[in-house]
Amino acid sequence: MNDEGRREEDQRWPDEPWLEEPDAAVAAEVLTASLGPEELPPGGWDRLRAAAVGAQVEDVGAGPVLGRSGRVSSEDAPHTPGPPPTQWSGFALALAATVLLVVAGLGVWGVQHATEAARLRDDQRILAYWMGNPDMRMVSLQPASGSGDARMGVLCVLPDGRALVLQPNPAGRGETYVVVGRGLDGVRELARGDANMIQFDASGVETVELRLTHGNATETLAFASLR
Amino acid sequence: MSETTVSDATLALALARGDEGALRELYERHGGLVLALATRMLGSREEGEEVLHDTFLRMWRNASRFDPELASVRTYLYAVARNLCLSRLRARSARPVNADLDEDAYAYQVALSVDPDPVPPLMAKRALETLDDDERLLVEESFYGGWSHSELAAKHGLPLGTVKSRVRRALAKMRSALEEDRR
Repeated sequence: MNDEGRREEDQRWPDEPWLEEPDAAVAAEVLTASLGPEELPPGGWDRLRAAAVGAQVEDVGAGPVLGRSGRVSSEDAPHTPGPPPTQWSGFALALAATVLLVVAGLGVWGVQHATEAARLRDDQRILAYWMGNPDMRMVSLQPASGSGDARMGVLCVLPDGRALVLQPNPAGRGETYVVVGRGLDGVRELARGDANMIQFDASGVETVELRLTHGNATETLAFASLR
Repeated sequence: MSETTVSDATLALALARGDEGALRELYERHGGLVLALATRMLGSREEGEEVLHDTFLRMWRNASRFDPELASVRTYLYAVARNLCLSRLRARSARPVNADLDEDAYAYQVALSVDPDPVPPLMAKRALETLDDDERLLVEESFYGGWSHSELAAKHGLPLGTVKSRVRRALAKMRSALEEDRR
């Protein structure tokens, strides 16, 4: 090719070649492969699974029941989204068991610690408000693999972003629950406390992570997707 | 599932049926390079991990629209990750990034005509070593940084035609080096 022909080809060369040039497709692969793989982040798969499967359960209403591994077989998985979930579908009823445990726990705890009666009443009022709200959406917390704590918690979310995480038990002595959110803005702590009911603002959050801290140690207990 | 017995294309089809195991296999198989690309582009491991997460979630959600006969899963993932990074760079105003891109269309275009076998890192490095320093700088700024040719021309005080011809020559060199290495 002479200089003139080369100049003409250069003129036709797109300003962003990665979009359309076959050579660029190969080069994109070379440039990526040359970096060498990074080690995958601890808990990365759990977060992805929670977001992916959580979203799927939301989409299919009653949906497939997840086994202990949290896996959905290809036969169980839907090809298309099903009807919207009813407020108290089987899925929600299963989650509501956690709420009953929380209520029962509050009762026992309240009797054992009469001086905390006022706090108990407040907690019950909060719970009644959430359970009675027709706009509330319940999302299951998926246990993190290796967390050693397979208790099923529940996340309640309102359309305005207010959220409540419910755990069957309060944190143990010296332990604190920490609620962390992941969204387009990055990762941020949303709330912390030792009670089994923690309210927080989940606006802009796509995945909620529940951690348990004890001294300097932190353990990820569970994840939930809000998508 | 193992890499030797299950191809990316098969996994992509399983993904479209909602097979979570396929997602995990693809994540473990390609996540490391997706994370490397995102970390390099954003200069932050933490943000890279977020892009890694979002890339595979997008793959999961769009799996039914993906045709592995037409495109490579691997390069589709890289293209989605790169575009997510470019969006973040644009949000930071750190780079004068081009107008909004249709992510899926972009990814499919880039994924076309790509060899089904992954490029080993050493082979990729050898292909990069065939470039002159000037070519390599422009290619890396264009790919990792999202700079368009006209932006690169302004940045380096070069005529636009010079930038285009260097990048074009560089990409062709990389392709030939790869083809030669694979023979």
